[in-house]
Amino acid sequence: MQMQDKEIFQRIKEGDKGAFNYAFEMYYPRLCFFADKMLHDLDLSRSVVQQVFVDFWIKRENLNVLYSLKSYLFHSVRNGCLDMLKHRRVEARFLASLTHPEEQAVMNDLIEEAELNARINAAIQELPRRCREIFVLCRFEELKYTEIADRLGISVKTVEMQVGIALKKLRDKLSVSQMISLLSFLFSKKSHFSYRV
Amino acid sequence: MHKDPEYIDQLIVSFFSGQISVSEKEELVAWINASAENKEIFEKSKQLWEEGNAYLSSEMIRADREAIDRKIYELSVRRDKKRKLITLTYRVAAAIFIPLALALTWFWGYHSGNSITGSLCEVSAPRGHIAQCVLADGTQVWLNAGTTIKYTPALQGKNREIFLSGEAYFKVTKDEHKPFIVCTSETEIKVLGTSFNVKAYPGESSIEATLEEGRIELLLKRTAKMQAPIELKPGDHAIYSLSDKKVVIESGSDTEQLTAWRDGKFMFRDADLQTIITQLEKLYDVRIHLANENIARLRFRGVFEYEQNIFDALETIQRTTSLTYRINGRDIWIE
Repeated sequence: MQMQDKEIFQRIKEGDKGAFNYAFEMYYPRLCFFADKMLHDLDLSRSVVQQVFVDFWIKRENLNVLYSLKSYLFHSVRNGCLDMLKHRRVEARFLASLTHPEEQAVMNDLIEEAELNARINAAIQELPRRCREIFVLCRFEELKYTEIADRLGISVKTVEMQVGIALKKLRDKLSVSQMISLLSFLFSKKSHFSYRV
Repeated sequence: MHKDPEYIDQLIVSFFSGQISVSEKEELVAWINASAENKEIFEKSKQLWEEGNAYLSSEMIRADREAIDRKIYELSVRRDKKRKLITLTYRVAAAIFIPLALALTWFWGYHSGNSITGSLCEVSAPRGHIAQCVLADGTQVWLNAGTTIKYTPALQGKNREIFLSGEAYFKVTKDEHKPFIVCTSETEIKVLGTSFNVKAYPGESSIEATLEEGRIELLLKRTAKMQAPIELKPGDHAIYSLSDKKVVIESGSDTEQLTAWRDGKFMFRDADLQTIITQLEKLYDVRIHLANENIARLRFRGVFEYEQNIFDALETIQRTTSLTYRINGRDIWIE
């Protein structure tokens, strides 16, 4: 059974480490991907989100359960990212977009995107080990098939097949209805996408 | 031309990862345009590929979870240190204030003719007897003849402080948050949980501490500068000479001998008569007078039991030496 968002918040306030773990499991990847949308640097995003969790635990007693846990965490990460951007002095344009009246809408979009990313991430983690390994090397380390084959000591043909299987499994995992709602949402937001096929 | 789904998926991935050949690309385009269904599959795949643009492995997530715990731990340690600094400030204030308060109390008490001991508890073993008591924290204390300890009733406060005059053996209940401190006129002994003996009779030329087990720290009160505490290991016997303000530590000493008094035994190995008579005086509440200095340097070994009376002790001395004794009330002369 899932714990209620507010109940988790209350229990963390009371010093329940189990509830804290639950919040971490539940939100950590999403928050990292959310930060990554703003910072475009996954490692930096991870350290921002880590700090949010550290502060959350240290200051738990003084926090008010006015908001949901989810909105507290996303807002904290957002603030952490903004501080980071200010610090890096590259914030100007992004900050302008966020201080715009539509700020909340922009933030919601980023949260939605982060959540899709988190779902994809979870689906990748559920792939068979070898399949996942090959897919990650191909997608995130951007290695050539021949480089992957060399590194893992397998044939290029196997690499090709495994990435194909991975993609199919991921597509199956993320249910059709979920994908469609996400797609329609994303396409309404991102008409500037252009595909060169 | 291959039409099976696995092959198409391979082409799609090759396309996204930029590893597609010209002919394969033509093949893929043809497939996409063949039906609306194909186009949807392609769009879905593209979405997956583009939106899942960052990846966190379960190992990374676990490592991050640990990093969070580590940072929380470090912060809480730092916070405790800050708290300690605050208590140190209080201590410094107390170090100034308490002696002042005591001095005033003493001054007032002296001039009004009252003796004021505040709210301290007092336990004494009269001359000729040993006593045993258990403190509020479960610590056991044995008091040798002529010993007094004073302490606050429930051992309140940051430390458990005991004021000792005489000789006592402590079996201290462990409490790392509340150090046990034995204060004598010249030293402080800090303990976390251990068994040890402290001898600090007023009028004697030294203060001695013997550690049986555990760890204790000896702090000298009246040194010119702040001095690091002297740490004793089990078996160590520290002797602090009041005349030259120096500490001598004998390691591997016979702790059993030094603490035998608890069992009502007065054990001595190669002790001079002066030492023995000092002990006998405390034990039997008598005054012993030696005819001359040479007698005082005679050396003995043996065991006296507290249950024996002073005559047994004097007889033993008389039997093994050419000395004789004479008793007048509580005064004894040895010649």
